[in-house]
Amino acid sequence: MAVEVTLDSGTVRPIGGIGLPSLNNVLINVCLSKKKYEAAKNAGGGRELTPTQCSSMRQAAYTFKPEVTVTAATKELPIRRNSRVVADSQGGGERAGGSVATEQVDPEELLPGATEEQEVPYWLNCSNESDLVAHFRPNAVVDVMRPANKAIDRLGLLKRLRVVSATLASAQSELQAGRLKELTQEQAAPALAVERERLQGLLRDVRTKILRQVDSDDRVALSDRDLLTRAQGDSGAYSVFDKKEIRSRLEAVLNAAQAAEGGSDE
Amino acid sequence: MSERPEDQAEVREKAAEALAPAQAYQIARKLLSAPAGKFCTKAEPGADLLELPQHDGFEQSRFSAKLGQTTSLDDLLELEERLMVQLERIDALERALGEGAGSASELEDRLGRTSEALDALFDDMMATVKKEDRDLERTVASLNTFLAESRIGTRPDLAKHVYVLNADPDDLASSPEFGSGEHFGPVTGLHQVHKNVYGLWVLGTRVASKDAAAAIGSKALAHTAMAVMNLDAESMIGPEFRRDSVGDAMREQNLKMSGYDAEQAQAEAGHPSPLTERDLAWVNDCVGDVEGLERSVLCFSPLRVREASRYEQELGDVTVPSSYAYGGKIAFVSMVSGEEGVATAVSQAKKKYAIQDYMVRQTRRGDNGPFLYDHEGHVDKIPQGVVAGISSTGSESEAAMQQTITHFTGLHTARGGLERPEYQVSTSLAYDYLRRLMTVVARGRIGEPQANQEQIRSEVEELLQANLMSTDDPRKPFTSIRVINDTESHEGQQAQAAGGIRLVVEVGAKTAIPKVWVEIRPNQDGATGADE
Repeated sequence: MAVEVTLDSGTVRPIGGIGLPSLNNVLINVCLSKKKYEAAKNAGGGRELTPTQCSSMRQAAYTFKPEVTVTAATKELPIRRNSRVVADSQGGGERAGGSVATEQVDPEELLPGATEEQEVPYWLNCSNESDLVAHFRPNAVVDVMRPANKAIDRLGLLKRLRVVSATLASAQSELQAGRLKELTQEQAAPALAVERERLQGLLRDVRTKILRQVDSDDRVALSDRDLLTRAQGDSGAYSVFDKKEIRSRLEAVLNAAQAAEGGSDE
Repeated sequence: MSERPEDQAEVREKAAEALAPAQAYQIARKLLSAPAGKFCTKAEPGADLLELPQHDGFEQSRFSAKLGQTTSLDDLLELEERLMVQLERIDALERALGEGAGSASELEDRLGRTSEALDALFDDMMATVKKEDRDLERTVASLNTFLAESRIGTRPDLAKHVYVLNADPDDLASSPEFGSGEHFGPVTGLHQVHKNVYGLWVLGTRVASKDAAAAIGSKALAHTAMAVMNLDAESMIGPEFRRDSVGDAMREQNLKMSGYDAEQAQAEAGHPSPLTERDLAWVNDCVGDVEGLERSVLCFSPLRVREASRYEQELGDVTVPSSYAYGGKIAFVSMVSGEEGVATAVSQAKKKYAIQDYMVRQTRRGDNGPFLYDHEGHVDKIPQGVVAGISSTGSESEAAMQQTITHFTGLHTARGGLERPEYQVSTSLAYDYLRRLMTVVARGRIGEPQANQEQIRSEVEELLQANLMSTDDPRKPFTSIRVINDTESHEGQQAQAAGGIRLVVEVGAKTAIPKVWVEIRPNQDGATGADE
């Protein structure tokens, strides 16, 4: 007796003369979020090995949300002493001259809040396919970094360091040129305090308007999963992830401010 | 300056209350609008600068008017940021003054010293971030490289076929679940011959030995038409072969340690000894002894996607493993364009993105001479297929090929596409390279029964023996099973002609079945068979 069995091989015809089979699925192994990977591993059942459909950098950004966190610590650092900032042709400046000395630097002493944990969410504000990669460039890191605790109402540490350093260096340079005599006057500090309060009022107005803008988009109420699904047909939906982040940051900041006011009233 | 801090604060508070808002604004305006500091460098020199706002922009009525007119979210966020920057600056000056102003020269000195220390902290913090994010950046760049090379973004209908496995590659290689089909979502067929398999698998796992390659290949077998693996170029080739300052320093050090003789080296430099098969034995050791492999040396060369910044000198340039670029190219050829793909450059040259390539061989002098050698060690006869390099000639002639040599000196980048005709590699070069590359990377079924007859025969035999053959297990009907590739009978020849194979199974039976035929044929509908 003979039994004939025909198996459907599912094979496909090679394309052209190159001998490549056409492919149906492509699986790319890249670990874009250690956090998500660890969570899937801990959940068990091989969930860490579940592939996610993903064919664009924006999709990868908002699906996996790649980011790192860092914290400044007290340590010995090489400091260029007796140097000055030399303006370059582009309008920026580089520190030059002087000599390098190693000194112990306590970040908190130098800049209040400098030891707060910082996060770098490279995935935020990816408006095109090249943004995610571009956000790893040092200049972009300065813009992307922010306090890990959203309730902390500050710029990211790197930007703060730059802004403060440049402000002080500029003031020093003006003093040296004999131009900024107001700085040594007794009214300088009180005037700055008055201005700070006024600018904080302006900031509240701006944020109120930002929140109104964000809330005018109904999609802000959608879950991440729903947004990702929607983005497959409408890439504009990716921008809603950014709006959700803005909303959650401003809410945290405003709640913290309210709590602080409540505390000071008591 | 003998007052206690709390007394000073009280004094300042009273002084602030006494100040009229307009007066305070005017003083702050002078303090914060110094012409010397309107912009500053963010992290690297260039036109992308950080603006230190002039205080005029925050004058009450002016700002309120601007806010009233601003409706775009981006513009509002910019206003928010400018305010936060200005508040940071106000705080900074307040702190500087609050520490006890002292004389102008004391204040000047304090401002300078604090600024210098802040810059040092900035440098350290940025170096910390870049160290922390290096693996992540490499990973992101790898995916970007794959997508750019595959150009799947230009074909939305194909997007659904691309999956990312977010898993640590090193864990994956040793995971017991790895290769178990049930953990891979879209895989539905788990038979010996199946449908809906992953076509191409681009692995992040580092492969540094023949054993590892074999293990991963066997795990990939059930799911993959092809797996492209990362070959650990950095550890295999070593930093002394790098064409950059790191490599230069390493070579110099090696030469010093070996009692370098400048005159002798000069003489030897004119006569570099040719490479031999033995010199490249490590290649076989790594990827297996595969036909067509002998000239695939440069597929190990990582592609530089970003030059190291000043904060990353210890880390070196950002490179991506070549597997993602090649994987993308193969996906492009296979999924996007069968015709155009054969002319796709495997690496694309742009000076701006020049990478420090690895040399296969270095003269003892340690100079920056040509780094690509053909199999015999001649730099003047680079044959097709050594590397799919960058050609502005697009020619297949020997003479034209010579002109491509200059492009081989460290000018590879991971960006794909054929935006500029001068970056197209010659058809034959890419064709040959891909063919060779496929030989190296094919680790499973490549979908051609004709090309895998012996593999299929032996696997079917193994499968049948494992499941149906036993002398003492009553559930298994056969005492012996032998599978023969039938190329001689009429039916066998018909199967061959149809692109399939006919296997004859000879059995020693406990039952009355003496023989079974198994015929394997391609789909009748041919082309895809894959979208189900």
